[in-house]
Amino acid sequence: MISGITENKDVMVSKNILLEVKRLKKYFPIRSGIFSRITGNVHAVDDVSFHLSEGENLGLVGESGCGKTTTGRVVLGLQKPTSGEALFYGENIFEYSKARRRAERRNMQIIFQDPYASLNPGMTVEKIIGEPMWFHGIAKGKDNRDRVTELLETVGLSRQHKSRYPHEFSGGQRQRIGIARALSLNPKLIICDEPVSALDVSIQAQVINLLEDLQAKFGFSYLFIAHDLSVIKHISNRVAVMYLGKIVETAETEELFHHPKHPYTEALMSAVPVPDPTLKREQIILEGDVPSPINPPSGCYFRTRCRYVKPICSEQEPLLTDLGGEHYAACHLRS
Amino acid sequence: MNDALLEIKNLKTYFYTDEGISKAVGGVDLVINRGEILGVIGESGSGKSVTALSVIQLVAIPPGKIVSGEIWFEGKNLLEMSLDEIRRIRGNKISMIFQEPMTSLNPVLTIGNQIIENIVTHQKLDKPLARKQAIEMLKLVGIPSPGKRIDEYPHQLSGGMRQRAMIAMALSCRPKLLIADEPTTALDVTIQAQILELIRKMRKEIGMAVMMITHDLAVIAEVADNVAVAYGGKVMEYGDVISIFKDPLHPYTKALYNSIPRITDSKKRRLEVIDGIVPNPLDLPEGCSFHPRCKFAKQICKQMDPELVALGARRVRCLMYDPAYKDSFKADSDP
Repeated sequence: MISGITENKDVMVSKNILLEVKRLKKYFPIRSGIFSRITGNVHAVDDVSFHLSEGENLGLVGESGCGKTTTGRVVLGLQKPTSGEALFYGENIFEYSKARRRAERRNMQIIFQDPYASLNPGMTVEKIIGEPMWFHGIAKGKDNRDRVTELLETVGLSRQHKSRYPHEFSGGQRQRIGIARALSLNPKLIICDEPVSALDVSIQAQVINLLEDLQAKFGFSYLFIAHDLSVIKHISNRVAVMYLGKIVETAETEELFHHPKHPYTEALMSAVPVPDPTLKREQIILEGDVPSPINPPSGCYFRTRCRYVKPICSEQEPLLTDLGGEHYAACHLRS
Repeated sequence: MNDALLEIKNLKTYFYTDEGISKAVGGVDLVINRGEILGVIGESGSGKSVTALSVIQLVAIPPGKIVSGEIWFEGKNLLEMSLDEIRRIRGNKISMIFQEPMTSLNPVLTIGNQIIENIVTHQKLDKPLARKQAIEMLKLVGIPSPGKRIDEYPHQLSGGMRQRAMIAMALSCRPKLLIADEPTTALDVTIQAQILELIRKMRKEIGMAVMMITHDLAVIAEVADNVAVAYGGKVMEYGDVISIFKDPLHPYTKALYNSIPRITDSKKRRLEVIDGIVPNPLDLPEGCSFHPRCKFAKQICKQMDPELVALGARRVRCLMYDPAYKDSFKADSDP
């Protein structure tokens, strides 16, 4: 599906770019004192740029607090950006009027991590899945009910489930309901925020396979946010690695996993446990914790934990640099 | 067998709830040898955590009750001991660490006070000596500037540091057995790698045995010597870690292994799906608890609850391997 991307720039251009995020920033102010003055900012998303083509899956991976979820929420319009643009088919989402934003939301849907917290416990499955279609005026009355049945069957549930409430379902089934709701509007882009991490191991494969089948059938794109590198590798065509609000490396999946260039990516991959007890490998164990996003280090944000650190790393911020073949990394030592 | 440190025989722990009897642990047999890391793998409701809680008798009674079984530790049956005797062992010779350190550390006491209390209680040391030993422990688990950190409260530490502090507390009396219940599940991968490394190191230094409970096959492959696979409140398969991963016997173990995406996968492959849902311990299937999801299930599996069959040093709970029923599987496949 994306084999052409790596070699030829022209192919890139001719592929329809669905979403392009440019220099996105999202700071959360910290207020303190009796006048609630702003005394600092949490740099949740700090100058992030990426793009996503039609039918492509971009994996956004990183540890907790790296800003991957906030990025997804800002793109979806659930939170206001501090600055930056998100172009959806070339138009800046952040400049949409209120009505337009509502109307466009049908093209962008989200699947959340906790399928229980994201389904209204007082609504039947029929209402949960049917409401977005009713709201956007796609299907009403009998049409709506028929479409709900169809969607339930698409995600592997049955019409008998229509009149039930979320608490009557298992975690995996609830996630299917969430997926059916996202599908109901025929979106172009689905943001998946840790869609399988709350599920039991034996249920994860069911949901991952379902997500893949649905994409093959309907042709939308996924922005797939997860902390689990094995899942990210399985589902993504391209991966962006985030650390402390910044993308530190991005490349086509196989390329990234076989030739990680950024020291953080390298360490992250070597830290992933592998289900093979005979595999002997040298693990890079990072020392310390992720620094506070309120007061990030000068220069390269990763330098406090980097084993290759040089004086330049604290002086200058490294920029994402093309290392050839659509492989970008933000590291002084690799560019 | 004389090297056995802990031996669990036919343990049954039930919970008597309003909705019925939850057979959380329905006959578990396990052996942990001195200095060994036993990995216990299972999904939610498999009984892995309740087994551990039964060992140190922290099961809430009521609604819980240890219905039957024996738990032999250093030649004594823990289930026949008085509460006083158990208290002398708990936190001393057997200690436990949990998934979420924030909920298992006391938020209003400094970590130092919590460790010192444990040392004073079990080793009858005076406070200044205990404090010295506590600082030693914090240093051993890799907490930087332990002399200062000892007077900090849990909320002042990061997630990884809290888990280290909890390990320091658990190890402060140099236990013979450490029970670790999902010790890295709430942590990021790079921190998980640190903690797993720490557990391996402490095993060497203190010579303790570890019962490592997790849902993550890869974590087990990284640290365990032997593995027990739990499902529906019973051990389905037991063996050394290499056999379990290279030559799994039980259909559940096989299916579980094939259902997870692996970072080492060279080609994109379709994940194998285990149909159905994880059984509810309130309502376990008749016969083999895995039969509704098993690809190889025969009529007999619905009626007979399989025994644990010994195959050399390995154990498997499946009729396919039971000499008395083996043939019914052959006969069917051979028309």
